[in-house]
Amino acid sequence: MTGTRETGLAICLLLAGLTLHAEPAQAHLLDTRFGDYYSGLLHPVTALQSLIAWLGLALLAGFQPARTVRWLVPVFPLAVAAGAAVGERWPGALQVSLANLFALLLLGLLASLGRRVSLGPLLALAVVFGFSSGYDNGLAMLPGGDALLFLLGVATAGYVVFTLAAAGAHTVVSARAWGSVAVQALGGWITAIGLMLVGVALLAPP
Amino acid sequence: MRDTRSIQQAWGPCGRKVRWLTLLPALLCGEALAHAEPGLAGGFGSGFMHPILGADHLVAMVAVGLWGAQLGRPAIWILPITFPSVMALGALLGILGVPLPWPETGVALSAVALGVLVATGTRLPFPAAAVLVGLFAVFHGYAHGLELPEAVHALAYGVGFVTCTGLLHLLGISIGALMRWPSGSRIVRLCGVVVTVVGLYFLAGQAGLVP
Repeated sequence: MTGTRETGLAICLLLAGLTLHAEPAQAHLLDTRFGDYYSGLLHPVTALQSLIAWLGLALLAGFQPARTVRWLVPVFPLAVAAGAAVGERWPGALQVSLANLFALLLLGLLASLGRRVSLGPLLALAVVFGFSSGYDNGLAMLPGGDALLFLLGVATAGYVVFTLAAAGAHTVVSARAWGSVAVQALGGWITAIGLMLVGVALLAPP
Repeated sequence: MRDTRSIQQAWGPCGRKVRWLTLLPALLCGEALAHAEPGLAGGFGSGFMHPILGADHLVAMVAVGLWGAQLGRPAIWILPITFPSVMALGALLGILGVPLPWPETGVALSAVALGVLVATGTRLPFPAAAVLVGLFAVFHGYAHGLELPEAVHALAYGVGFVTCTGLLHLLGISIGALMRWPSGSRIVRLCGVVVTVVGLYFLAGQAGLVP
């Protein structure tokens, strides 16, 4: 009986000690070691504008031969990372907002046409657009954060989104009779969104 | 009988408690949102629901898919690809506040016209069909753009209503796939009749004939 009471007391003391030792609960990862990585990873995905334009590039890639698309898989995330690095370092150097809206429109239009583009122009498009998109994301880096982790996060998002979406589009286009139409229709949706945003940016009163 | 009464007596207090418990869900209700929700998710939700909550928009968009399916190639794939872009131009006119006469009447008329075309199985030449549907797309887009609430995320709102419109076309095309079977064509035409009736109801509403 005495032993049981001592055991209970020990457990109570242990629980009390653990309670006193408890640190504040971290519901989010932004304050932990890899927080800036996750911040960079999520920013382009939740900003929607980057995500839709990246999907437009991936849909366009779906109509290209696999050999061509393989070049884009490393090039696009690297361009995004380079743009994010410049944006984080020199935030006022470039005005890319309107260029990114035009890129959204152009990529949607090209995807809705479903045409093949030769490797050179496609690579140039991926590099220029990847850089400007990355630059826009680099501006969102919080002051005092770890820039390298943030850049790695943005580049990872670019790699994952582009690779998965391009692989999906390529598979659908090549494996299904209705695949081309479906991917072109999605390109049409992106064109519509781009058209509206470019129009608002250029014509709407301030 | 005695057993039943004894059960009622036994469960009486519990029954009252249960009646009180039915009020609990009232405490769980979220606030009523009379206006569009702000932010990314709110903007997408507002845009996505806009074509659905307007029955004239809803049936007209489905009818575009149905008519595309009836017309066959190339309309079945060109109409869903080009419609959102033309609709976006209309939305732009609405956002910019460019005056367009009777936009809601145009939307209701589009439902009537498309419904009649589907119900009668009319096959117009493709250029004429494209021009007609494009004209309707301007009215639908204008209505969406005009009602773009200032508080919502414009991009998310645009993504929402474009996505919803595309999915409604897809629904129409899917129903149109029934035409592989003899009775399927009749079902598609019946859908056209329903679209016409809904369009007429909204047209009557515009004319003040129905409340």
